[in-house]
Order: sequence, then C-alpha cells, then structure tokens
Amino acid sequence: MISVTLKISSGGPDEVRAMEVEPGMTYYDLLRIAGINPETVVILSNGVPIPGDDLVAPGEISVWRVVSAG
Amino acid sequence: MIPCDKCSTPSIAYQRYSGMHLCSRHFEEDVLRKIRESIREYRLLGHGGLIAVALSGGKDSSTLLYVLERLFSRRPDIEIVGLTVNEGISGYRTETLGAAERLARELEIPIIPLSFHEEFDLTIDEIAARKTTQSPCTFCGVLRKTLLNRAAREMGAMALATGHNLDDEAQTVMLNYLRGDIDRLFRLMPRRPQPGMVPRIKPLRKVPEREVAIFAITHDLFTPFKSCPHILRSMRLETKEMINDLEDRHPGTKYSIMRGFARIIDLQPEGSFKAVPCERCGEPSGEGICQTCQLLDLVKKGQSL
Repeated sequence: MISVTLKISSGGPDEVRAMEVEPGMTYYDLLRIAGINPETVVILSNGVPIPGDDLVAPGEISVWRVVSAG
Repeated sequence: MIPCDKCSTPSIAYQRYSGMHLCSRHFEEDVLRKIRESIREYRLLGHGGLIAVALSGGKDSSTLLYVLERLFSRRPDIEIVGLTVNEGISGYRTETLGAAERLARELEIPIIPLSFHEEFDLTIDEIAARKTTQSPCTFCGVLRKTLLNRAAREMGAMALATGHNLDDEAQTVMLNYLRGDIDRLFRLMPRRPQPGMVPRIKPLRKVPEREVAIFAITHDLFTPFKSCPHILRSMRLETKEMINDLEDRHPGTKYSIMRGFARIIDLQPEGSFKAVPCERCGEPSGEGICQTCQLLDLVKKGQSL
C-alpha cells in the first residue's frame, strides 16, 4: 500500500487527511475515494501543479479547491 | 512524471477533454490561444479603443487583466482601465479588492473604484439583513451589472471585459434551458449592439475554470479561495455541481454545451431583444422599469416581490 497525506485547502484552515491506496492508482482515483470531484481542484506537489492521471507517489500533496461556489 | 505531449518536459496539466498532457510553457500557450480566439470572435478590438475590465481580485478577473495587458500592451491604440465594485460585504470584498488594486499597480493599469453604497445608498450586507424573497445574490448581480455598464459607458469604453470562464458560461446556458427562459438565453449574445449598453466581452469563455486556476497559480495571480458569506444554495450552484459531475464522467461536456449554444444562437430571430431606456432611471432595460429600479423599490418598501 502507498501512504499519502492530502492537505486540502478550501480557503479556511487546511484539512489534513492521511490515506492508503493500492499501487497503480492515480490521483484522480485518490480524489474520488476522498469524495472530491477532480474537476473542482488543482493538485500540487511541492507547489507545482501535477496531472491527475499520474500515479500516486508516497508523500504529501496539496489539494486546492479552486472552483468558486455560486 | 508524465511528459508533455508537445515537448517531453514534465507536464503540469492533463486535459481529459483533449487527451493532452501539457508542460507549463505549452499549457500557457494553449490558454492564450483560446483567449485570443475568443477576443477575435467578438470583432470589437480591430480599430482600438478603451477596454474597461471588471475586477474583483479573484483568480478569473486577475488572470483576465494580466492576459489583456500582455496581449495589448504593445498596441498604442488600445487602453485598459480596471473597474472595481465594492458591494459592501464585510470581511470579504475588502480583501479581494486589495488584491485587485495590487495587481493593477504592478501592471500600471489605472483603476476606477465603484461602490454600491455611493451609487445606491445601500450595501449587500444591509440588503441581506432585510430578508426579501429575492436572494442577496440576485441584488448583487443586477446592481453590479448596472453599475459596471454605466461606468464603462460614461468613460467611452468600446468593450466591457469580464472574467467569465467556460464553467460560468456553460452554467448560464444550462440554467436558462432548465428554466425554459429562451429569451434570456438569447440575451447572452445579442445580435446587435443595444442602445446604452457597452458590448460585453468574455475573453476567458473557452477556458475551463480549473485551467484558469492553474494559469493563475503558475503566474502568481492566485488569491486564496474564499466564499462570499451570503452564498446560498441556489439553482445555479446545483447546476454547477451537476455539470461538474457530468464533466468528470464525460469529459468535454462543458464544451458540448457551448457548441450547442453556438448553433442555437444562430437561430435567434432578428430584433428578438431590444433594450429601451428605463422609465425611471434611463438605463437600458428589457422592460418599462429596469430590474435595478424594481429591486431597489423592493428594499425601500421592505417588501417581497
């Protein structure tokens, strides 16, 4: 299993979520498991956006909610 | 790491609707291409003139201002002025307007500040406290549109640019379908210039909201996301969620909505909408008394529509 920490920013304080996923899963799979629509966020690794179909690597990623409500 | 499909350097974005992985350089090129294409389609800027840009300080209008300055700074016949609107929403708007002012200063673009308090003697916080059946968002949208149009007209602007992106446009089209409001659907893209109304241009209308955000992040234009305190669950918000769910399952849905809309707009009957001056304030209106005056009456009377 791969351990990954999601730091989810929605404007307020970050929400930190630790997850374990099967090898071979993508960030899209990870977001859907976390109940987040990939269309509404940008995933960053070390401050740089990464494509959602990349395979999940162990470590920490940032998930920024970027789609405004309303 | 997934390489860029155009140059093999690491990609920063995957466009599921096109199947392309793009690095930062090719992603930027793609966004700028879509923006240039949208601007060309309006056929408004060929002879130069003044562009008024509606600025909120959020990612969309910041990206819009940055890109317009980049595209037109070498055109001596084009001038850009920013318009900010303070709707009077405490703890929210002041922060985002600060970001707008900072960016305009950096780009050396002048700003004209407008406010609901000065123009209408009312703020959105005050309107929200009166609890009319119309949501504060309705007041905010209608009053802001009136104020921006008037200011752009008075300064002689030949276009009023707003930061609406692909998601905003697809939502508006779908929302009008769902409400059966075809008149309003046609009004999104009037065939002829309307008297008293400065033509609106939406240069980001072909760029998905998520990609505007990636552009803003990679160009240091992204301000931390914050929701308006008056936001309510609305049909627009439900439509937005529905379209994003569809887009996730069927990539390309947002573009399909807009392709269908482009076909429908061609069927628009001649003269299907003609703005007339409001009997009360003289601003362009679709009916005798404009929506702004109707809404202001509502607040003054303290009644519901």
